[in-house]
Amino acid sequence: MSSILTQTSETPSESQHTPWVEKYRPKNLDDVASQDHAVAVLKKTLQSANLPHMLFYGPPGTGKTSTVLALAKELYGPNLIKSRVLELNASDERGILIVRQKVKTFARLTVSNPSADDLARYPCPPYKIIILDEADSMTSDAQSALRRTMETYSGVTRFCLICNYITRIIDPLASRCSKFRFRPLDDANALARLAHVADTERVNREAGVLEQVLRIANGDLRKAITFLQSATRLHLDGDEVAEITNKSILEIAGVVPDEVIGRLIAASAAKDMEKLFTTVNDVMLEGWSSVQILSQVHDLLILDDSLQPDQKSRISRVLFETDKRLSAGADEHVQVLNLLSQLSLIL
Amino acid sequence: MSLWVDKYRPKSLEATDYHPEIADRLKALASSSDFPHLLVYGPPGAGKKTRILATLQQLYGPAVEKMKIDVRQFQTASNRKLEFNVVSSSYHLEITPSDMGNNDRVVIQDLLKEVAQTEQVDFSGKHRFKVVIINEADSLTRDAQAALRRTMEKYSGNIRLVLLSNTTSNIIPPIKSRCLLVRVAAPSEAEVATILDKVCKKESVSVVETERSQVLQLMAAHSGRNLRKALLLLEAMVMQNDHLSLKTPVIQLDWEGVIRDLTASVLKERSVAKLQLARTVFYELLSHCIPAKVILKTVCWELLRGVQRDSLKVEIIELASVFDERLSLGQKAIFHLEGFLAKVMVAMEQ
Amino acid sequence: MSIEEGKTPEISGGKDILLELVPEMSPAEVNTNSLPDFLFRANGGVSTLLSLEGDAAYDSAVAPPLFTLKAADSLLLGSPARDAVLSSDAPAFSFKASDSFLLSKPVSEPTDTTAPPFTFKVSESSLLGKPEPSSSSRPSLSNIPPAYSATSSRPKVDAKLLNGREVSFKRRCRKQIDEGITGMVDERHYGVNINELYSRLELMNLVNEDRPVRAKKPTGSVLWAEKWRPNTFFDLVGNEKTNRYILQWLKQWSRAVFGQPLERSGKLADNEVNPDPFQRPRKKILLIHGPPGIGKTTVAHVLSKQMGYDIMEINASDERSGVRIKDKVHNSLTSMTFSGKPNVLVADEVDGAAENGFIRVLTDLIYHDSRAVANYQREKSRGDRKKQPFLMRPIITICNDLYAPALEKLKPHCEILSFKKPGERLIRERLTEVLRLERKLGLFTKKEVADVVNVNGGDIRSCLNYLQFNSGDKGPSVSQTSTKDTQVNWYAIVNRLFSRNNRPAVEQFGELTRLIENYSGNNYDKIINGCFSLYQLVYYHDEGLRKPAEISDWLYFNDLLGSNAVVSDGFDSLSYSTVVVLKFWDLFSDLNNYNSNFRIPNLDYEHFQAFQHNYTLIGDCLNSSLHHALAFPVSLRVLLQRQSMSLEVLPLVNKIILPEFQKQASSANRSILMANKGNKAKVERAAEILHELNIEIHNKRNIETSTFALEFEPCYDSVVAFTDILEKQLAQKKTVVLPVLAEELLKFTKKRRSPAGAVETDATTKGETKRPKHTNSMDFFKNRYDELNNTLNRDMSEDRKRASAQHRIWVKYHEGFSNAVRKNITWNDLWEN
Repeated sequence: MSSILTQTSETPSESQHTPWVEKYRPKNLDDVASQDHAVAVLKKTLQSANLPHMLFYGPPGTGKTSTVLALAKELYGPNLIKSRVLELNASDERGILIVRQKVKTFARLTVSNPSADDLARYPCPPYKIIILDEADSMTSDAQSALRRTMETYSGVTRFCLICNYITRIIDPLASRCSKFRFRPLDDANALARLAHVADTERVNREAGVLEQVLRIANGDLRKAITFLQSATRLHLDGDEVAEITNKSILEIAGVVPDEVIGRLIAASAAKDMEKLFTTVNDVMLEGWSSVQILSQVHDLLILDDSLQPDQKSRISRVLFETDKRLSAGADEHVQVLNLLSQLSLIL
Repeated sequence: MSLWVDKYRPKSLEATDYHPEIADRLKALASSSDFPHLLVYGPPGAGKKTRILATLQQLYGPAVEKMKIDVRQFQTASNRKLEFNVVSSSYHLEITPSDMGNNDRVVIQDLLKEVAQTEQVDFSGKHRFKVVIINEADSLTRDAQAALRRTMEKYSGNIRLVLLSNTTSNIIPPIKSRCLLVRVAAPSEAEVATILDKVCKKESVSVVETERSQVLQLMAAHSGRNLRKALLLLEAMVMQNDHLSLKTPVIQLDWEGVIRDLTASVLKERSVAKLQLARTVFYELLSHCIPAKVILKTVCWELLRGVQRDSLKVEIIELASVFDERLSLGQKAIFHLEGFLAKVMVAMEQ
Repeated sequence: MSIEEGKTPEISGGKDILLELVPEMSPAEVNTNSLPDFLFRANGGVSTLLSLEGDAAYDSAVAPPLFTLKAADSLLLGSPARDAVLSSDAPAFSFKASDSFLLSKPVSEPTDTTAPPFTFKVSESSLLGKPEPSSSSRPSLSNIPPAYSATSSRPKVDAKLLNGREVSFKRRCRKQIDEGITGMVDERHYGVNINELYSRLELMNLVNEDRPVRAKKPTGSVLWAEKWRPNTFFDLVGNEKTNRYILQWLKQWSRAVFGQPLERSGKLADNEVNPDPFQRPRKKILLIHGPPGIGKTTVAHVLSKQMGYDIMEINASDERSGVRIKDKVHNSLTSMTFSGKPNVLVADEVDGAAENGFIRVLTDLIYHDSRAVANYQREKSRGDRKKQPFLMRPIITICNDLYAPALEKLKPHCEILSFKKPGERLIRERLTEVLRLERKLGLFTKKEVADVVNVNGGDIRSCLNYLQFNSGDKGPSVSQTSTKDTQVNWYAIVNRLFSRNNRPAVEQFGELTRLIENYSGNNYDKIINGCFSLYQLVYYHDEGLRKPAEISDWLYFNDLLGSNAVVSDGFDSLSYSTVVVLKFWDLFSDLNNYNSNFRIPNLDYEHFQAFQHNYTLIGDCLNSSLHHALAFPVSLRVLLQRQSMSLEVLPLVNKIILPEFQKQASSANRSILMANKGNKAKVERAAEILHELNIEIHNKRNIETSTFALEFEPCYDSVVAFTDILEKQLAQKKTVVLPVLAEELLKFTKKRRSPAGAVETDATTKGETKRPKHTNSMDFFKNRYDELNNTLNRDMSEDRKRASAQHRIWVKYHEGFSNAVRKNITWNDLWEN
C-alpha cells in the first residue's frame, strides 16, 4: 500500500475509490476522538519537541495509527514527512533481515536540515520517526534485533510501536518505550463520527442503521466505516444510492440472522436428534460461517438470564471445545452438530 | 457438445435460475465504476464459479469465455523451479495456489506482481483493472494470506481479486475486511428439481409423465442440494437406462456404497474381525483419493441413521468431533479412522 | 633323560615340538581330585594354567593331552596350587626333542605329597597334518601329472573322408589349471583323482582357517551385491513377465538396428500396424520404475547383452547437464563401438532433481525423430538429413519414483514398466544359492534367511549386503540386540513386543525399555507402524474392543509428537515415542505369542503407491502440464475442483461414458446393437463426450494376462472402482461396449475434422513444448495452403463440391495474453487439438 503519508491530492475519479477510512482519517491531533490522555501527552511533546519512544496498544480501530500519523504530520509538515518518517506495517516484510537492513539504514541517516520556511510553520524536531504498525506480528527474533538499534540511534531516531496486545511485545522493547493505552471508543463519540462520515458522503439510510453498524463492529470504528462503505457500494444503482436497510447491513457483515440461530437452539433444546440433524444440515448448506454461528450462540446463551450459572459454565466449556477444534481446521458441519448435541444435554 | 453440467451452465447473470438477489447485487457491482475485491463462499455445487464467470462476462463482454491454459514457472526460495497452471483470458486470470502446497506464497507474490505491473493495453476495455480469481482460498497457508493482503493493498489499482472458498473460517480477518463477502447458499431441493426438469425437457429425456415430479424430486434429494452432482447424476442415469421412472434405481456412488456396507455390518455386529475389515476398507478409500475427513463424516452420518438410542447418537457425534480434530492435527489418517470406529464399537456395546 | 634339579635343559633346533603328558601312575591311582594343575609358561609369554581335567575314565590308552611348544621356549613347570609358584624361585625346565624325562616338583618347594609325578614325553613327528618344513605350505597341483602328456607325444587319430582324402586329428591339449585364484579345486577339471583332491582340500582348510577367503579380485573383498549380479536371463529373480516384455520390446528394435526381420511382419506388440518406417516400437524409450534393489539396472544390462548390444550407461554419478552430455549421448547412439556391437543407452536414476537438461536431451531426440519420420512419410527430404537423425538405438531409462517432477516431460514418450518386488521364495532361493557358493551356508539357518528377506522387503541388494557383513567370524544373529543394523532390529523388536513370558512384568518392562532405547534408528515410526499393522493379527485377551480403542489415543499422542517435531523443531519430544511402543507391549502381548515369528504385512506402502497414481491421474486431468492431450477441456476444468473430482465427477462421468445397452446378450453384432434407436443415441452421445473430454480408446496389452483389450486412455477405473467384483463387472461391460464406442468415436473425429461444416479454427493453444522457429511464417502458410487445398478437394464428395463455392481458408491467429505474443504454432495444432 502506498503510504498514507505520501498521498498527495487526488483526481476526483480516484477519490471515489479511496477507502473512506483513509479519507476521513483525523488529520491533526485535535480530530482524534476520545483518546484524551494520549493526545494531551503528545500535544505537550509537540511544544517541547522531545519525544520518547512510544508504544501504543489497545483494541483495533481505536485510533492508534491515526494518532501517530497526525502527530507526524503536525511535527514535520508535508514537505519533510517523506524523508523523516519510515512506516512499516504488517503488509511489508518485517523479518529479521529487513530489520537489519532497512530499518537500521534509515535509523542511521543523519537528519537533514529543514528549510527556514518549514521551521517557521512546524516544530521540525531534529530526529526521525520510525513507525512499526501492527508490531505484535513481528517475530520475537525481529523484535530482538530491534532493541539495540533503538538504543544506538536514539539520538536521531524515535520509534513508535503500535500493537493490539502488549504481551506480544518482548519485554526489552517494551521497557524502552513509554506506553500509551488506547481505550475503546465510547458510543457517543463513535456515533457522532460515523454520522459525520455518512452525511458527508450523502449516504441514504434507514433509521437505526448506524447504531447497528456500530454494534456489529464491536466498537471498532474502522470496521464500522468500512461496512458503511461496502453497503453504499452495494446499493449503488448507477450512481444513485438506494436506501440502506438494516437487513442488508446484516447480509454484508455475514451475520447469521437471529431467526436461524433461534431455530438451532430450539432444535437443540427439544432434544430431538433427528430434527437437530436435519436442521443443522439445512443451516450448513446455507453456507453460514461456523465461527460466526459460534459467536452468536455464545452471545445468545451466556447473556440469557433464564439459565443457571452451572449450566452456563458447562455451556462455556462446550463452546471452548468447539472453538478450539474449529481453529485446528476441523470440518465445520461435524463441529456445529457436536456443539448443538452437547448443548442439548445441558439445556 | 459437452456434458450437461457445462452445456446448461448459465452464461450471464440474468440466466441464473435461483438466488436472484445475488444476481442483482453482482450486476450492480459490475456496472458501477468501483468494483471491489470479492470473497465468494458457500457449499460445493452451489453455483459460485458460475456466477463469477457470469459477472466477468458482465464486466468485460463475451471475450472472457475464450480461455486458455498457460504453464508458468517460478523459483522458490530454495532455488527449486516449480511449474503451475494459469487459466487466462484477455481480461482475467485464474489460479489455484493451494496446488503448490507450501509454496503458494511465492505464487501469489510473483504472479500478482507480474500481472499488476502490466497495464491493460486494450483500450476498448471498459475497466482499467484485471480480475484475478483465486480458487480454494480457504486452503491457503497463513503466509500466503499475509502476502495476499499486502498485494491487495499495493496493486488494487490494477487488479481486483475474487476469492472463492467453501467457508470463511480459514480466511484471516484483514482479508475479510478488505473484501465484500458474497454468500452463495446451496439451492433448495425444489430449485434443483426445477432445473433438472428444464434440462429434461430440453434434452427430451423420456420420463414417465405421471411420475415426473416425484422422480426429479428423488434425484434432487439424492444429490444433497449439490447442483453439479445432480446434473451429472441425471446424465448418468439417462445413459444407463432408457426410461426414467420411480422404478429405476438411482445411481449410488461406489465409495458411498462401500461405506454404507461397512457401517451396516458394524451396526449388525461388532468384533475384531470387523475392525480388520474396516482397516482394509479405509485403506482402499484413502488410496482412491477420498479425503479422510469426508470418510469420517460419511461413516458418522451412516451410523447415526442406523442407531436408535439418542444418547448413543450424542456419543457418536462427540467421538466424530474429537477424531475430526485429530485428523486435522495429526498426520496418519488411518490411525484415527480406525480409532474412531473402535471407540464407536465400544460405545455401542455398552 | 632325567632332569637334574637346578639345571635347565634347552630346546634347540628351532623346531616346534609336541609335548605329551603321560602320567606315570596307573590309571587307578589317578583320581580326579588329586590331579594337580600345572603351569606352563613359554618365554615371555603368558602363564597358562593347564589343568588336567581327568575324568574317572582317564585312560592311558587314550591319547594323552598334547601341547605344542614353540622352539626356543622354555617351560616353567610348577604347581600353581600355591601362589609361590609364580615366584622366580620356581625352576625352569627346557626340553629337547625326543627327550623324555621325569618331572617332579623341586625339592625346595613344600611338596604336596598327593601330587603324583608326571612324565613328559617329547615327540616330534606324529602331528597330523604337520607339513614338511621344507615343502611349501600348500600342496600344488603341479604334482599332479597332467592328464595328457606334452604335445609331441599326443596320440593321433586318423580318419578318412568320403572323398578318399586322409586326415589326421590331434587330441586337444588340456590347459593347465591354476587354482591359485579361487583357492578352490576347479571341479570342472576332469581326469583328476577326486579323492586326493578332497584330502588336499581338507588339509588346506585346516591350515587356512585363519586366512581370509580371497575373492575374485585380489584388491580387497568385493561386495556380494556386485559379485553375484545375474549375468544371464535365467539368473534374474522375479518379474518374469516384465522381463519377457522387455525382451520383446528390444527384439522389435532388431530390425532397425541389425536389419533382421521381425517374426510377425511389422506388427507392433499390440497387434496394430506399425506406421514407423523402421518398424520400431511405438514408444521408443523404455522407462522402468520400481523400489530400489530389485534388479532394474541388472535387467537392463543382462537383456541388452543377450540381445547383442553393448551398454552405454549414464547414471547419477555422471555429469548430466550441459552440452557435453548431449554430445556423449549422440555419439553413443550414432557411432559404432570397438567391439562392433551396437549401443544401448541405459540412463539410470533419471529421477534426480536436477536432470532437466538431460531429460530435455532425450525428449529432443524423440522430437527430432518424430519429425524425421513425418518428413520421411511425406517423402520430403528436408535439406540436411544429419540435423534430423532418426533414433536408431533403443534407450532404456530407470528410475525409482515414477512421480518425480523431472520425469513429467519424459513420460509421454515412454513405455512405462513397473517392476515389482520379487516373491519371497525366489529371493530366498537366490540367497541360499549365493551363500552356498560363498561357503557360508552353515552360518545362517533357513529361518534367518527368511527373516532377512522379510525385513528388507524384496530389496535383494540389501539382503546380500546384510548377509555379507554378518557372515564374519562370530556369525550372525538376526534378533541380536547388539547388532547395529536397524533394518533388522525393528523387525525383531516388533516381534518381541507381542510376546510375553512368565517372568515378572516389571522385569520384562525394564528389559524392553532398554531394548528399545538402544535402538539406533532415527525414530520409532517403523516400529509403531509395524505394531499397528500387526496387532490385529496376534492373539491377545480383550473384552470387546477396549484395547484398540485405547491404543488409538496413544497413537494420536505419537502423531502429535511427530507434528510437533516437524513444525516447531522440537525433536526432543520424539523420545517420548518409546512410551507408545511400550504401550503396545502392555496391551497386546500375550504368553501365547512367545517365540513366534510374525510376518508383518506392509499394506501402507502399497496403498501409498495406489494413492500416488490416482492423485497424479486426477492432477493430469485438471492441470495442463504437458499431458494436455489427456486433460479435460478448459471450459470444463474451470468449473471443477480437485476434491469434487474423486467424490462425484469421475465416478459419474465413468458411468456416462460406459452406457448400458438394452439386450446386451446379443451384443456381438454391432449392427444389431445400433439398430436399436435408443442404443444408437446413447453410443453417439457417449462418443461425443469422449471426444470432448479427450479420452481415447486404445488397444492395450495387459501384462498380467498377456492379452490385448480395448481400454480407455486415460483410464479412470483405478480412481472409481472399488472391490474386485465391481472391477470384473466393469471389465465385462467394457468388452461389450468399447468396440462399438471405438468405431463411433472414429467416425465422430473424422466428421469433426472434415471441412464440410463450420471450420473450427479455434486457436486455443494449450501449453506446448517449445517448437523450433520457422524461417518465415508466410512461406510456411503458403506451403500448407496448397497442401490443404489438395486435401480438401480430394475429400469432398461430388455433390458437396458442387454445392459449395470456392473455399477460402481464413486463418485467424489470436494473440493470446502476455507470453503468447511470439508463439509459433504448426498447422497440425490447429487441426488436431
